[in-house]
Amino acid sequence: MTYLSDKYNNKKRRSYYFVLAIILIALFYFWPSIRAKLYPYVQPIIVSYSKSKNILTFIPSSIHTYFSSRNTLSAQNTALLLTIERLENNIAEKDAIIRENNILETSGTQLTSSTLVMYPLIRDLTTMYSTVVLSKGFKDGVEENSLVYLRGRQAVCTIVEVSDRTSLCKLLSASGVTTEGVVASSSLVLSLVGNGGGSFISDVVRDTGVAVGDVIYLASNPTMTLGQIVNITRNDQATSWRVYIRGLYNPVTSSSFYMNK
Amino acid sequence: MSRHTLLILFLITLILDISLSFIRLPMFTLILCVIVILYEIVSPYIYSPS
Repeated sequence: MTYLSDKYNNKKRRSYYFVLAIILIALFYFWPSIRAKLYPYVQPIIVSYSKSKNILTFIPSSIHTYFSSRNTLSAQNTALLLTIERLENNIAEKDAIIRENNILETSGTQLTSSTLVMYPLIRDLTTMYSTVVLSKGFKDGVEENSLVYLRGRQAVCTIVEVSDRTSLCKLLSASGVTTEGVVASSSLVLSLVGNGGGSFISDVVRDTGVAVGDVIYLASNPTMTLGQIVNITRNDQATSWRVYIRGLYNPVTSSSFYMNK
Repeated sequence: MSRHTLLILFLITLILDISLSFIRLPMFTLILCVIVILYEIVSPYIYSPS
């Protein structure tokens, strides 16, 4: 009798393991769809767990903050602000790389040996960053009146003086410099007056088809951008509107400048 | 290892697998299964005084 009972138990155990194995194999095999279906049910658990964890970790830090000195806290604040700035720069750089890749892909041009990469040596601080001294000169093939651009093919300056190893570039956005730009959406030609820091101002006749967010291209070379319309001052009393244009990248803070030979 | 303990462990690992980004395979559940199988194989050979 004992023998028969053992046999029955073994059979039962085997079938149990067999069912378990099938369930597990099915779970592993169909995991992506099962996970997607189960996730909405598990999400509240995760959210409540992370909330309670945040509260528990916040209490000791808040007590610590209450007893720490003002100097330490202000130092921490400064460090955090610097971290934010650094991370913002990182995001902008990554974003710029993506944009640059997109532009290169769409325009079909590549960064070949004919593209000269330059670095700013001195930025003119006295006249609102109107000129930049670049690290390449006559010996590298830089010529006068050549157009220099930033990442994303954003035109920023023209070469006005060339030395052996350096060149002086006058910013298009320098105060008083006028540049011709084309609005991408309406092919309207605007006369842009430099406003410093990569931004421009333009006065257009009222009821012109311009809108915030429109991209402005360089009229002499439409493969290059100048910036984007960031604001339009509409005054119903006046006969013209004032359009504010800002470049995606600021030439003052940029570290690389490009030029086509 | 009792069935209840196993079931609780299984649920915990499953929740961990769903909440963490194991999109391809439930790794924690897989590890648990391997441990349980090894335990089941080895346990009859381990001498217990009781």
